[in-house]
Amino acid sequence: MLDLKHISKWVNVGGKPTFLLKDINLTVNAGEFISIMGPSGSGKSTLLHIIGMLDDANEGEYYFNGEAVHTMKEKQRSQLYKRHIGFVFQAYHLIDELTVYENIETPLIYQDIKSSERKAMVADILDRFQIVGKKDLFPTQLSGGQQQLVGIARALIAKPQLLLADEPTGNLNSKQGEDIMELFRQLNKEGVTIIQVTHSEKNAEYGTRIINLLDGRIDNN
Amino acid sequence: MIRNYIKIAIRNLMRNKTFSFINIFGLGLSMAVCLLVIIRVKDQLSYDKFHPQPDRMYRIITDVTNKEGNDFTLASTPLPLVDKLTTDFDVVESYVRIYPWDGNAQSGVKDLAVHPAFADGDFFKLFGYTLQSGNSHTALTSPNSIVLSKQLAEKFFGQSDAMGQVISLANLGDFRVTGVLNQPAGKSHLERDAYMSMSTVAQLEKAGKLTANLEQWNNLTSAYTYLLLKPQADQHQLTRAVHNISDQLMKQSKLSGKEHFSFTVQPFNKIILSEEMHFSLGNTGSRGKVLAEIVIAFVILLSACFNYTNLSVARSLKRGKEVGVRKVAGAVRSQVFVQFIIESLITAIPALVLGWLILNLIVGQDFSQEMASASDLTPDGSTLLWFTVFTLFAGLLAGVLPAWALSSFNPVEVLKNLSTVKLFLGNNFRKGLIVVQFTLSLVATIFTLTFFRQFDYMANADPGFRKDHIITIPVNANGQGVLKHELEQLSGVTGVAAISTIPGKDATGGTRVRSKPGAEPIGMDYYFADAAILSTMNLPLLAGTTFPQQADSIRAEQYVILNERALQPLHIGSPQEAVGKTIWIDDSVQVQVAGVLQNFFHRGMTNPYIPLVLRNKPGTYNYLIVSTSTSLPATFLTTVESAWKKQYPAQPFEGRWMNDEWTARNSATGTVGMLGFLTFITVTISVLGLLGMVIYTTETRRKEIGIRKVMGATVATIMTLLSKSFLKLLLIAGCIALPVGYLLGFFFLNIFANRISIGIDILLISFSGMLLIALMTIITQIYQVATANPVNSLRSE
Repeated sequence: MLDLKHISKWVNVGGKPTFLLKDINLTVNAGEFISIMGPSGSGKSTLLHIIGMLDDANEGEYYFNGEAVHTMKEKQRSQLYKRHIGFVFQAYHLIDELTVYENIETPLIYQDIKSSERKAMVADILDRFQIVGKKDLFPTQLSGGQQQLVGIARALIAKPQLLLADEPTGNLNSKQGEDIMELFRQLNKEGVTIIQVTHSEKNAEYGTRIINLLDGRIDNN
Repeated sequence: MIRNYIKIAIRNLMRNKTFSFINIFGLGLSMAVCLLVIIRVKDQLSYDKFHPQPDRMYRIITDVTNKEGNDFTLASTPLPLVDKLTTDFDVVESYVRIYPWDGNAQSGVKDLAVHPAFADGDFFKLFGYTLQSGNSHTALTSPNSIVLSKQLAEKFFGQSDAMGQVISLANLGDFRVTGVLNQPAGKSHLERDAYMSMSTVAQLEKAGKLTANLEQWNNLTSAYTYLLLKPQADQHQLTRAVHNISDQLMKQSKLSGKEHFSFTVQPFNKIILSEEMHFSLGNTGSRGKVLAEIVIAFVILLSACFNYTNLSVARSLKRGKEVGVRKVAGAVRSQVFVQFIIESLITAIPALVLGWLILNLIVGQDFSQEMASASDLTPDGSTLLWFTVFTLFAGLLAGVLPAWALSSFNPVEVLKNLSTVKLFLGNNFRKGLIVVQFTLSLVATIFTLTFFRQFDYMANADPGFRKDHIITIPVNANGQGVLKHELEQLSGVTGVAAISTIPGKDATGGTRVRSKPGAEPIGMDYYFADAAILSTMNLPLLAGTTFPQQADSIRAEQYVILNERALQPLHIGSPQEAVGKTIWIDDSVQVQVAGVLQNFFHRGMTNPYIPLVLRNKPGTYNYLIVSTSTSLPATFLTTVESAWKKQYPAQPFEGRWMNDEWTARNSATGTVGMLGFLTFITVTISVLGLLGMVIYTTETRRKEIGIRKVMGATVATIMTLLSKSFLKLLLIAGCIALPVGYLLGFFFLNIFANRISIGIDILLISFSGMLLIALMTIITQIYQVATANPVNSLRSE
């Protein structure tokens, strides 16, 4: 499904390049559930952002479903990722001014989906995540676990093939974290490819494959 | 999608009440000014729109270069021009000359001041005026015909039919009403209240009732030429024709080499807001004034938009996360940009409503009388359209920068760590905006204070003649003597004098004075006045006496009184020397100097002392000046009025206290009020901007302040820390504004012959006032944060 070849990313600190990622080669097949692990500063989030097309690599090739992402213009890339990729964040990143319903609806709006269709899709997912009763609340009125649930619902609303999660349970207590991970496993079974970044061994176990990063390199595969 | 944008915009407005208030209130204030200017400009542009063939209509104007080499343009042309143009050239289809005349008109018992003009017979065809009654083909053909405007006809004849009635114009004789105009379909710069047949002019000139101008090429200023080109002719042909005529004239004229004039063609639809012209006819508006109004309104709007920009960019740290999320959800930059633009447009709408309310509040107040009348405030369709367009413009102006900055955010950066985000519009930019705003406000304050002081000084200054407890009454020569006698009998009246124009406003005119025949003439102002004027107005004599009594049978001028300023150009050494000297005025009249007056400001305080000659010629006085004892109350005017009613039962009494009129004329209440209003707006907007910035800064530094307090900082050190940066901005603004304001005031005061100096006090008052308001704004906000318990701010992070 996606193919990273010799991906490197660096920033210049005091005139010298400091590598965030160095010569990453990674192939992910559809239906996998991958956990990326590694200490702070090992490049986990950077790798995730590059896979999510939010960030550019300085070097290397990236193929998504066979399409060469590294040669695309920003607009094409944005077209690609908004159709195929969903994001979940550690800090949830819900828009405070929008209700639960509207937050979930946001990606659909940017995909020019008709209002009636949007309504049906949002209703569907609210139902599935059992948060129908919360749909008119604002994010600040929810607990952390509930907010992350909304965040996942928003990431899934457009039916992406790939779900990227950056420490999805980092701000949650252990019970809430477990629930979220169970949900991920469930989603993976239904066919969603998942790549998550995590610090926790326990959470990493939910995945089908673990990738360890150290100083920008893949440690062992 | 748009609905979603609007929803979030409204929620943001509601959520951040303080910021919304600052934005809307500031924009609203500035919009009030802008709306006023829109109304005024629109009114000005609505002139001259109803005439039937505007593309083929032209006016001929005159370019003059005088002996001193100064160029100026006259809106007027000599009367014979059109005859020459129609006989020698084949370009003109029809023409109308407008030859204005001002004076009094009488019908029955009514005697009114009127402003008619002589006009040619094609008047109706050319300008598209229609008649309510009368025949437009013949109404202005036969001599002594007059067509009245609807209003004037009602003034004279009320509801009864005006047709066929006779109106007699002072000095011109009787005119028969041959038509009454319909209310015209729009506004026109031709706003005479009646039109008389041009054929009358020849007869009047023959009878000596009008100066012979009909065949006079030398009189460039008495009439205006409008014409309609033939369909096959064009402007170039017309221009060539009139140049041809003026070139011929210059060859024949003995003026050639000294003074030069040529005729030019002005398209009719270019008359409104054209360049400034001398002897302009009607209300053509002033391009400079309109431009100045637009610039002022725009600067104020810009200042309010600065606030919006400033606050939005400052708050962009908060909005940054939202931008990131939206971009991750698939939004492209243009979509985010549009969202923020819509937000600023939505803010502009309540601002427009507020501006409209403020405008309605200020119109109708004393100070705004010159700006607009309440009747201008009934919006019609096109005004509403203008307002809408303007609101969109204001919204865009305010929103475009923040929208551009916010939409540029990189989602990875803003979502990772907000504080690392580099704002395109950095801190210095925002500080710069505050400095600009306060500089503007300070300059405006200094200028307004200077302006007010100057006019206050002029209103209360001693002009060199008595102006208190004096009544001025406009009165025509007929029956003047009787009224004068009546008034002298009233108890409390200490003197009555007659004069041609009220001193302190203007001179009656200019004349040429020679010390001997053939000597180089000296231009002097003059009044006609009688002997009592000196005692009535307390004009002190330096030498000689007032006009000696002379027999009523002698109508010719014999004596004059000069002011001291007039002596030097006449090469007379001292006042004593002047008395008894013979001089020549009006080129040929020989008169004797009876006395010399101490200088006084007869043209008002704006002008310096100017050579003046008081002349004595019965029958030329237009005003009675009544001096009263100082103990009389203001109601004495009604006593004078009843004396007037005995003499002139049908005419309105227009007597005034001279001091009131002087104060009204010199204090420029309207302008001071307007300037004050504008200054108030500028200051308010900049204080609002400052308030916003202070609130924002304290909010974002809450955590830092908490840490500092835990480390042991006192309230006082924190207050100093937070207010220092703002005070620095104000000081910078002061450093720029004080010299600029001083220079501006200095150059402005140079217009006046009698002026105050801009004291240090004006600068100090303005600056410390500004500082005080700003400090209050800063301190009230900072105090709350500085005294807050650090535990709360640290926990909430």
